[in-house]
Amino acid sequence: MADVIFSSWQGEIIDNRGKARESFEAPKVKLPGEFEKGLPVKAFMGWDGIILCDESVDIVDMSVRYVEAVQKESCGRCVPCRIGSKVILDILRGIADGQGKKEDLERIPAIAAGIKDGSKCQIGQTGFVPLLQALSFFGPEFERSITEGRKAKAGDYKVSVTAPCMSVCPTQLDIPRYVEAISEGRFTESLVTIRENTCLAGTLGRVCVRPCESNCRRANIDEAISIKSLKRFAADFELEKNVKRNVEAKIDKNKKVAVIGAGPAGLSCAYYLAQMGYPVTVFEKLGEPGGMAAVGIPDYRLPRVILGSEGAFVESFGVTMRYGVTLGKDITIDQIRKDFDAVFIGVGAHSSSPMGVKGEDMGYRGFIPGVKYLLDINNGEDPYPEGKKVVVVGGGNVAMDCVRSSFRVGKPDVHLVYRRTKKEMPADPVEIHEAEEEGVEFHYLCNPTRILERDGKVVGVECIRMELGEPDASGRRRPVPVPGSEFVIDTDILIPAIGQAVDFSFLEKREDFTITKWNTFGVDQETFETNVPGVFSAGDCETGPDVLVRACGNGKRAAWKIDEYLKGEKPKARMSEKFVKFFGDVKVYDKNENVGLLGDSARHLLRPMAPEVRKWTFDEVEEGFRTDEAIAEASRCLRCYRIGMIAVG
Amino acid sequence: MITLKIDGKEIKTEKGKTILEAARENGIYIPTLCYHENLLPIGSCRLCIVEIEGYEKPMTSCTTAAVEGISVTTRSEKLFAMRQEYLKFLLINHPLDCPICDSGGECRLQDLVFEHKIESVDLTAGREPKKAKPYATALIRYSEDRCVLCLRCVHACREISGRRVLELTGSGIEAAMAPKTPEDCISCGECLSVCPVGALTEQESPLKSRKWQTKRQTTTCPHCGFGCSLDLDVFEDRFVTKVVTRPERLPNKGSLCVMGRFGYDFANNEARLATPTVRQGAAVSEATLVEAVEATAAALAKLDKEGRTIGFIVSPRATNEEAYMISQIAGTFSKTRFGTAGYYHTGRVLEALRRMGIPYPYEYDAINGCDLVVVAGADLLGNNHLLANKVREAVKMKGAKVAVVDPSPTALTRACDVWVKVTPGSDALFFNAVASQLIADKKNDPEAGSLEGFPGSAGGGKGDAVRTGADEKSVDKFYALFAAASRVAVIFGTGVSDRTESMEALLNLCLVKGVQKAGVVMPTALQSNAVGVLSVLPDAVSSGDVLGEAEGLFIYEDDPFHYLGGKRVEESLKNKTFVAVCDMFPTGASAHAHVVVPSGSFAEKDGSYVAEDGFMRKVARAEGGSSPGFDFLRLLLDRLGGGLYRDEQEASTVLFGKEVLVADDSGRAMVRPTNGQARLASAVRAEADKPARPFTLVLRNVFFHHHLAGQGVYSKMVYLQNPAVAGDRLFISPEDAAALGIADGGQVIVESDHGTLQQPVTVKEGLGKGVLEYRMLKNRQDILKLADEYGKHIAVTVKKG
Repeated sequence: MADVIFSSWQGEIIDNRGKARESFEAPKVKLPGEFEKGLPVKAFMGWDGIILCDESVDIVDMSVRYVEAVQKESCGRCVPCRIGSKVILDILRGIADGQGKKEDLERIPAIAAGIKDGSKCQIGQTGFVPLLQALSFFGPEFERSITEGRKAKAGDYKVSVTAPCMSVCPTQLDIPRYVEAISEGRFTESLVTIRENTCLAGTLGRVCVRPCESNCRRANIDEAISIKSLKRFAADFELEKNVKRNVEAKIDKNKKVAVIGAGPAGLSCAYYLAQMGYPVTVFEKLGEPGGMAAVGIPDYRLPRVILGSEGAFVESFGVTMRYGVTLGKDITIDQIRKDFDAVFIGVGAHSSSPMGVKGEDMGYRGFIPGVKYLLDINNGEDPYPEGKKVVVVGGGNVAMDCVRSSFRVGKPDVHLVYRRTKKEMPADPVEIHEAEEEGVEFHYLCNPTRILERDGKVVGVECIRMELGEPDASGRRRPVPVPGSEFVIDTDILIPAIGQAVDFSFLEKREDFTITKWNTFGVDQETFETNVPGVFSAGDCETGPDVLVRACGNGKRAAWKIDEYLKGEKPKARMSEKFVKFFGDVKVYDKNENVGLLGDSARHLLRPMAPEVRKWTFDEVEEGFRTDEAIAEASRCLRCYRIGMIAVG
Repeated sequence: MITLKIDGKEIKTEKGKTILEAARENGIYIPTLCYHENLLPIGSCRLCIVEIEGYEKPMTSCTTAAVEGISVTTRSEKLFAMRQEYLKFLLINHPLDCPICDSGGECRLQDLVFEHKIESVDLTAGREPKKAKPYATALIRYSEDRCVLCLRCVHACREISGRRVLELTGSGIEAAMAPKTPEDCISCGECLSVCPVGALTEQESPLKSRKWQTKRQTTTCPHCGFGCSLDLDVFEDRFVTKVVTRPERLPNKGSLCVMGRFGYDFANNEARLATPTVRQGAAVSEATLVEAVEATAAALAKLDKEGRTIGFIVSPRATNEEAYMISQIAGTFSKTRFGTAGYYHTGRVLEALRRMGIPYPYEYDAINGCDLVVVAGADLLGNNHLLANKVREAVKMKGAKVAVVDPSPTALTRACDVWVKVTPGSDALFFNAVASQLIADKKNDPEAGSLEGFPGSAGGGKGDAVRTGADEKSVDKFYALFAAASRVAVIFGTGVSDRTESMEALLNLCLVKGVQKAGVVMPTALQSNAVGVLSVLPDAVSSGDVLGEAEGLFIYEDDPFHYLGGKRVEESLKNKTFVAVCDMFPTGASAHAHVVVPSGSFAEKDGSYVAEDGFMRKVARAEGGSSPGFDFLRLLLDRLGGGLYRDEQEASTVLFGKEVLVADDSGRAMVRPTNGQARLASAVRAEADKPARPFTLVLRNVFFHHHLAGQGVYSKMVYLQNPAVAGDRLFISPEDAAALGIADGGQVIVESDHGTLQQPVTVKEGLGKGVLEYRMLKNRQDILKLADEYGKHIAVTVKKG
């Protein structure tokens, strides 16, 4: 991290100019020292101010280039930014060319004030913040340019556009753009934008954990935009209106790639490789695409037709899908490595983690790991017809899927046991709420200790009450058993759903691969390459069980890395990847920001079916937005595009 | 209702309204440039900014909802300075075109600059010089350098007409509006009507006028049955220089189609007939009006004395008053027959509505409350474009779903939720199937069961529907949408009315579902006064029938060659003892006439139409003088002893007196309503056709409403070349083309029982198998050779030519 000479970031003014290095005050913001190897961060200009680390940076030049970036990004949809930023740019260029006039320094703030206050989006609203601060704090530089007629010294800058929502999306969706397209009735274009960064629009539009919504500036004035549901709307529009997809497969490269697993990671990887022209073959154990999304997530949350449609979409780019092929059984890694020039492994994490409870490995009838329970249900079978009462242990989405699916296969008496409280449950709050509405009985602060059986069948589970102690590594308070508080819940089905694990049994020679202590593939975090050359991995089998959207994002990045590998290039992080990191450090969303606008509308939510109706059917619980609702919800977006510019030379 | 304060004044408004709407409702002015009441808020000009107490930033009142209890300031020094700055920004590169710009005197930029006291602009912003470029249609001139990027046109093309031709391109100061898909443009002029400055101006009229040089008269469009309100700018009482519209005028709210917006110049055409002519033997000589009246009266009286039938063929675009005069003229003879081209569709529709007690008239706005709109047998691109606009409005504002039932792609198949592609003429089978499924599933309107004619036993169910050629998936989807909808709007056109059984099956389905109670049944009409003429002349039959039966003919503003097989019409007219034609231009019929008298254009007429919704529309004289057609009629009536009417007003008064037109509760004039005693038509077990020939040729009338369309009387024919309209072209499906070995644009020979035709054919994606489509515009005669009489669906054989 570099020493900061000046910072006005996030309202904190740190001015170390003229001070000795030892007495430098450090700002709260932690700027990375390097943008990439060999390129130091000499200065940063952004929506919130200026950070200067190297005095060789010409502030006048940097200011001009920043306003140039504003003009370039200016979309044309509002008068102040579109024209006003050019007015100011022309004046600034004059100054930078040594042709400036004295009154320019007064005119600029006067003109910029109107642009800042009246622009439609954050480009215009924040675009002049660095310039105005530069004029405030670095006035003498500008004055010198004018009085001496001095031309500004050209620097080397890297520019990127971000937004609070975009900056936290694991697959870098251009959220303001696709939301804006919906607000303007350009639904097909919205989907095209989404598909630049994922092939799973309909899936994510239903099950994504949506970190974007927790970083939505609209929440600072009323409520976050329903970004996920808007994505679903764009995807569903294509299906419902039978819009023709204009896909032209263009496979023109010779090197072949094998993708193991047609789950989110594998599909994403194949999607991008095919678009780069590589012939890709996807080997998938199941008979359909989606992986865990297909057999783990029940249809009432994510109908299989959506996944089927998205699998077909990927296929239409010239990808060969081979369903029903099990790695380790029908084909081996070695065979694949012989026939293909690169391999991507995205097998996911389909094993159930053990609970650590006596009796769980005894094979009792009625003891069904969550993943298996859902697999059977998704295959249309009742996993245990004689059982009518269900107890699920766990607090994540898999646990929610298990309890809610139980109703839907005709088991009316359903319980959930979780060792912490509702607040700590990692499951999607909407899932928890809908499960409550459907009548699941929740037992918080309980943990199973022993399985009770008779004649080899589960008849009950002994649990012990817990209380919350000190926080653990995840920051959540660790549950501690209360001695002597054991009690029994009668049941004939007991389902552990406390976590998933990667099943490496498909590897003939497991020792060839580095497996981490968390039982996942060890890969280079920059390239996703395993220790075996040409074999890459991403998704749950690399991160451990994680959110679907991360698998999408990493599958995409792995595709880029495979491309570099096949071209024989040294792996190099893309500009976008570098900026993702950079903006992560600088932080784009400030939940305490006073946006200053009236919050005039609550967010639009999807309409769920009535609990008594929906609990018995696998029909999708929520209906998507109507056209008018989608437009109205999308129109709430504040379009928080922000420009970040780094001086690297 | 919520309460808020604007500029210290307490205001009440409905929840959901924006601050701008609340202000306007209460007479508080906030400057705007991009706001348009028929479009979703755009927010590009930023002029409507207001300050709200407690919030730091100014907000655009057009996009901000009115919230209970807020205190809004619309005027302050700060806001004025900001508005001034933005207007100055716009003026920096705005060309000094006011002296030559069409919009001079009616320009929002002029008004706003004046209002904001801007006398000089000392800002500069370099911008690339704008070059002249072709626009999406040759009828509109796009002066890009005048554009202020309010984006109204982009929104209008997307939201209202649904063509999506225009887009915003580029960035920063070089951002510009540009036509992205000019081939989709239908020259409706929506962009032109919303442009607040002179960036989009009309390029049609040879004579340009300023607002203060012309008289602006509100009247009704003479073309299709929708009955749009429009204003004619008339110069020196005789020259129509342009059409303008106002967003608040109902029913079209400022929108028009190409015919309404640009189809006025026939009124000024030099080829207009000026003098009556009388034919004696082979010699045709000019005559005075009195001489023409005399010749007509004498000839008709002679026929009457001989006990012959006199036929009166009345255009469905004649006004009610003209039709009334004709009925009075006919009343002086003993054996007369009335015929109109409007009978083929509207006449039979009205008969069915009355027979089955379907509520009529109807309100267009009833669509707004519906969650499903069904469009059956109507391509709203060729006619009634405004109806399609209303459907789009319901989708935009209420999220309504749209179902299309049609053998070929139509304007709405691009944006519908389901398209059921039935084979032509098999609609009855489809509608019966859906109705019987509704009954079987007990999803019908419970009260329908007590209606006369409600079927005792269930029919086959929706499984039957696949016999119409439609695929199962779309049938299922249609059924699911229809059964689940709470309020349905059913629009139907000539594709359904062509067969009585199709119409009755559809109306039966409506009654089974209860559409007439919760929903609306909306038949189209192709001509501006089809409904009116048929109400004034309730005994009217088709013009084809009258051509056959009568021995003397009085043809008023109609040309049967336009829609009937030419050979038949020719033979028929040749043998008539006497033919009188009153029309604006020479026509096919007038070539056979003994007396030809000039008639008036709608700009000269005064009177009324009844639009397809059953409500009256006022036609107001925009040009000076009188209507030559009406003059002829009133002089003729007087000569025949029927009395002298001074003007159209007198005829109107009598019409109302005779209760041909009545007033509804709010005083709006309309035709006499149907009796509302709904009854189902007896269930005809419709079967899919087993036609004698393998193909069905579907004739679609594009802009059918004007028989003059084929005559080249519209001075700028360019709009007729808009590819999206596709007039005078024959279409075949890709499958059939492949099977017959025909390339796109290749020749085919089409043969019917009545004639043969060879011509090029275009492959059209989406057209049903076994269906040929011909879109009749100018060149109608050749294709009509294949028809016997009036043709809609013709059985034909097709082979490679």
